[in-house]
Amino acid sequence: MVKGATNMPVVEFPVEDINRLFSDYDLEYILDMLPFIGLDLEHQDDKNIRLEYSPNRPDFSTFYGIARALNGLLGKEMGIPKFEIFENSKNLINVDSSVLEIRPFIVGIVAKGHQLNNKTIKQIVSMQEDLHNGLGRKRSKASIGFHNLDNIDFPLEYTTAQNLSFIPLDNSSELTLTEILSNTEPGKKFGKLLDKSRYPILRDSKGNVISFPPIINSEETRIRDGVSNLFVEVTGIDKKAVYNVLDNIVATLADIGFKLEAVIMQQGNTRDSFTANLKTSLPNVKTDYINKSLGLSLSNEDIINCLRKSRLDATVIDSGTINCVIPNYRIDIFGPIDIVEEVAIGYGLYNMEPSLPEFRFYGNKSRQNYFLDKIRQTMIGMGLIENINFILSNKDIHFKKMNLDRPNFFTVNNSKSDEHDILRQSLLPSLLFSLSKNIHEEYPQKLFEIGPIFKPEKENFEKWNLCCVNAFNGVTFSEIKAVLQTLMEICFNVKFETNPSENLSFVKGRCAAIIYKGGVIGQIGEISPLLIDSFKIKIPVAAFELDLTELLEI
Amino acid sequence: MTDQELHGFTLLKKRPGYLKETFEKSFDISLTNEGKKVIPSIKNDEQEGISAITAEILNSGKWKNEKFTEIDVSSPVRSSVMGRTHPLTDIINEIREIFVSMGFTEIEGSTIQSCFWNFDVLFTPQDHPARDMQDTFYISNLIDENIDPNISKQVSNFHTMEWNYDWDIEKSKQTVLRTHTTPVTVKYLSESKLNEGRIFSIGRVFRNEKMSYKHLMEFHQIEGIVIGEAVNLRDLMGLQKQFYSKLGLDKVKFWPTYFPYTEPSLQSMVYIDKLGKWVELFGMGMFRPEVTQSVGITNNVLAWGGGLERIAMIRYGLDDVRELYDNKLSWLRVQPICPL
Repeated sequence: MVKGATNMPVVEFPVEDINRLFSDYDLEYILDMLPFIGLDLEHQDDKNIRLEYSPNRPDFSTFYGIARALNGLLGKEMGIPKFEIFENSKNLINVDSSVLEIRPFIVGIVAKGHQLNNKTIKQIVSMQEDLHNGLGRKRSKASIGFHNLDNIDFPLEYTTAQNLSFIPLDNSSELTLTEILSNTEPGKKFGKLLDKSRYPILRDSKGNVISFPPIINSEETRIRDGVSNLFVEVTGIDKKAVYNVLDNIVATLADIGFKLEAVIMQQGNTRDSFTANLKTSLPNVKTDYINKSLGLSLSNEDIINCLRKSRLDATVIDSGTINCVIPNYRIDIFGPIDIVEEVAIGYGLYNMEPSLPEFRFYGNKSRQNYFLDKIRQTMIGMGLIENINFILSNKDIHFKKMNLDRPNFFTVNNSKSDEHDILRQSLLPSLLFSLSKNIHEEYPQKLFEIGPIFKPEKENFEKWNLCCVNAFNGVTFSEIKAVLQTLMEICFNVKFETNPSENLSFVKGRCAAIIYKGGVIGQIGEISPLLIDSFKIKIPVAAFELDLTELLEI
Repeated sequence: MTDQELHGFTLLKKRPGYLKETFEKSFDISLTNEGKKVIPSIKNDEQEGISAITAEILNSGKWKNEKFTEIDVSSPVRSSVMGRTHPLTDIINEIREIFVSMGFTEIEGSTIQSCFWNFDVLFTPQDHPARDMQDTFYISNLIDENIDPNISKQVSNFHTMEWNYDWDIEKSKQTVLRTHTTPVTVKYLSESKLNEGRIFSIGRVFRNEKMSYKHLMEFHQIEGIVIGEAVNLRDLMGLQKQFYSKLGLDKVKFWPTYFPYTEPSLQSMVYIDKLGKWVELFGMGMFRPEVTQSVGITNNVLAWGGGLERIAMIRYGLDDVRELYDNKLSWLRVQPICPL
């Protein structure tokens, strides 16, 4: 249960927004409540607040959406938020069939009558960015354009073009579509999403290009401080994503205070608009299932109340069944178990009393760890210190410095670190590296490590090894063999042999294969001066490495 | 020795019982100028009596007639050289013991997993950002052809219906360094069909991240699972509290969060006295029905877990997580084993 490395999306807004929308409450109280709708406070100062939210909640990409949820939990406003979308037959987009094979879906909304300031614009831009990255999957599924409605003349045309030019956002002169792709930042970044023969464009009735999706809008329709009327279009290749993106935008624009108007898409003889589907009714859920999952015994009314606090609507079907309706901007609700979570959040996790399930099991550690602990015990009894190194290593330490030429190893793609791009094949290189880092520490240095190593040539390529190094002036083969012998004879009570063998990492004639039950399970010997030199250890080292998987049959 | 003597010596040496070897070492010791200066300040150096107790003194009875000289018992000495396990091993063992005491049985699994087990079975869509090569270590030279057709049929259905895209089995054959230990858990559930019980695992997990004082690309994760007909979210919170209290952490609170494969999902915050603040520790949740149904489990599954290194950092007072894997002897040799 570890969070992804992917950076969580962040929403930033002024503290005054909280004070304005929740003037009846202490700021501290509101901040304490935010985590209970799933938001992590990342930063707070006198002016601004920054919260991390889960990518499955794009409705949290502005403070307006957060306030919507918070109002529910506080009981100020409950159930699905209500707003109206008005008809206006002027708002028309003609969809040309040539887009169907390139970027087939477009949907839009008109928002009027609220003067925007820079702070609100900042939130809108940040929402757009988050929707692009999350729901839009870096614009590949859906992309968004916000426009100043006053500079647009309906009807619009959504079509394709090979080449034409317009002034793109953040530019002062006209560029052709190809120039936009090769010369602008968004062009270079997102051009790969487009087929190179024809490009989708959206233009108004005067023929002005207002958008080149998913790349860039026109400078002409830029949203500035003071703009009061907006046109928003979402285009894409995944219909569900395209609509979900607009669902989120529409709910936010309504909360900001805009009056919304539908936009009709006309393609051939079919007309469609965004007005219809704003909420979805889910299959019925048994209240028993909800109570059993949470360990609660809520009445039907309680459950419906909890769901309404989570800004959903629900009705009782019969004594043991409810029906739940969700707003379409909630993309995270699939089925009954998601309803269970909504009930828990509406109920308030702070109200849930932890309990303990019946306990009638006997615990055990694994057989493998039983053995590994005994080995550790034996090794530290002989005065050795355990090391833990990374599994990810590099060719320099593993092969070059080891005087080995072994081409067969696992590599990982695109590692962000040059020092960590192959899986180790043995433990010895890292322990020698460890010695090289400790040359200024007191000797003798006696180290061991137990851990997994990877050999692609074996059927079970993951093995557990034990490696041991002794470093001090005067260390000998006998010295390290004595350690191995104590381990084998005292710890495991088994016999082994050491037969002469050759290994380029060891001194010739002072290297042996460790034989157990007729098979080779390891190497032992005095480390070659070549390695002492390449690792810059400056002192003699003797070592052995043992295949524990083989020895212990783990 | 002459050459002949040397030859004889080497021959005889191979046979036990013919030669008696003794080694002698001689040292020349003299006072430095600094030493000469402090001589007058050393008192009691003219004491009469036995200084070092030897076997000869004891056995001859000589000690009966003489006094032992007095020594300065308060003077400092060097610490003994000791072998020890790595501090991380100590914490892992402690946590293992806690799990076992709570009735959990340990399972083991592969470090390399197919995308199928690491992501697909766990209801993580194939275009999910976490699956990006930027975040996950893909093994460039290993494909897993053994995708179970029955499980994959279920998985394909869930992904296609609920995430609304065409699920591709080829993508699930790619292999990765596991990004969490949960694939080990679900694989175990799939094989054992365990419908009642408690299991846990501790192992390494990987993220393609640039290393910093806060992040490693390779770290340890622990995971505990409870399966049962009647287990519920409140139980999960209770088990978690019990687990933390055994680690000496008594102030715990729970917040909702998100994981693709659990619902409801919670994260726990724990108050650390030493730091005087709340710290986010383990995440938890109930496995989604899409996950349990894919592997043939009908009961509820409670799961919790998270990285171990943060606990180690708090325990050993580290500000830089990389120090745990530095293997500096100056650090390893002096870390307290069980501070009082």
